[in-house]
Amino acid sequence: MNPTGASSNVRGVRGDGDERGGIGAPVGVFVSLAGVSAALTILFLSMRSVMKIGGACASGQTAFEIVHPCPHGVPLLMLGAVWGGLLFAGLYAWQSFRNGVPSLVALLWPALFLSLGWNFLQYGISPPGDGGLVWGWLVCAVVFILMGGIPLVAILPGLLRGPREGGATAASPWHFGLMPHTSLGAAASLLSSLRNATITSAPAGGKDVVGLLERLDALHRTGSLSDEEYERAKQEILKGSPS
Amino acid sequence: MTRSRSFWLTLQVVAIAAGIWAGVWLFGVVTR
Repeated sequence: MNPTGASSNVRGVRGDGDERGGIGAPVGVFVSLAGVSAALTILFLSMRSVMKIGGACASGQTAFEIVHPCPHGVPLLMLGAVWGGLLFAGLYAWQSFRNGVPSLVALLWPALFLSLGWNFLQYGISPPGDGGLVWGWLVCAVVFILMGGIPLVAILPGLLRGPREGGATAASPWHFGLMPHTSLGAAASLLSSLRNATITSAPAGGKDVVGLLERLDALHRTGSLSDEEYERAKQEILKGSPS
Repeated sequence: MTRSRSFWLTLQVVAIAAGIWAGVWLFGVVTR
């Protein structure tokens, strides 16, 4: 443990501002997030192009006559958007986590389901052709909007609270703040607080220590921390507190 | 060099905008 706060001695997640000054982190975050945004956009537009022709299409060499051929290029675009989106989302989550960057990864799920749910809603109300409401699509719209909207409502308080959590010296990445109600999020947030308490030069105040110990005990009781992790974390807190 | 949260937020907003633009452009090019 280095009291001067050299981050190179700290393994695992780097806190906010611990970057070594390279261009790698910003480029990695930018490219991966742009990639996942592009994938979501392509999926959104591809879905609309299929719904415009009735909601289903086929392509390829078959023994049958295709009644509704897919718009040109859409099948490959959809495949690429799905797999590419997953790849870029994983890259983004990894890049933001390892570099301690405020992360919007928890918003990807609501973005996907709300955007596609909007398509179902719009085309369910105004389908192509002369038909009335398409109830099948409206049911899908409700399901997708709930699947995207409920997590978004759950995430927003943590997202808004993230930058302020822990005060001016907090270095917890936002994506931990985006899981405030889960044991994993709380454990990760607490461990990040512990790491910051040990690498900053300012001594931990008595109140901070008591608060950390109380949270640690709560996590141990709920099973989020094993006995070994609990003892190790407790020792770190007590070592860092003023005698 | 430490980077502020504002920097990362701005970077990510720009990345999202760039991604959406790229997605619209690519979709237009492929489905032409």
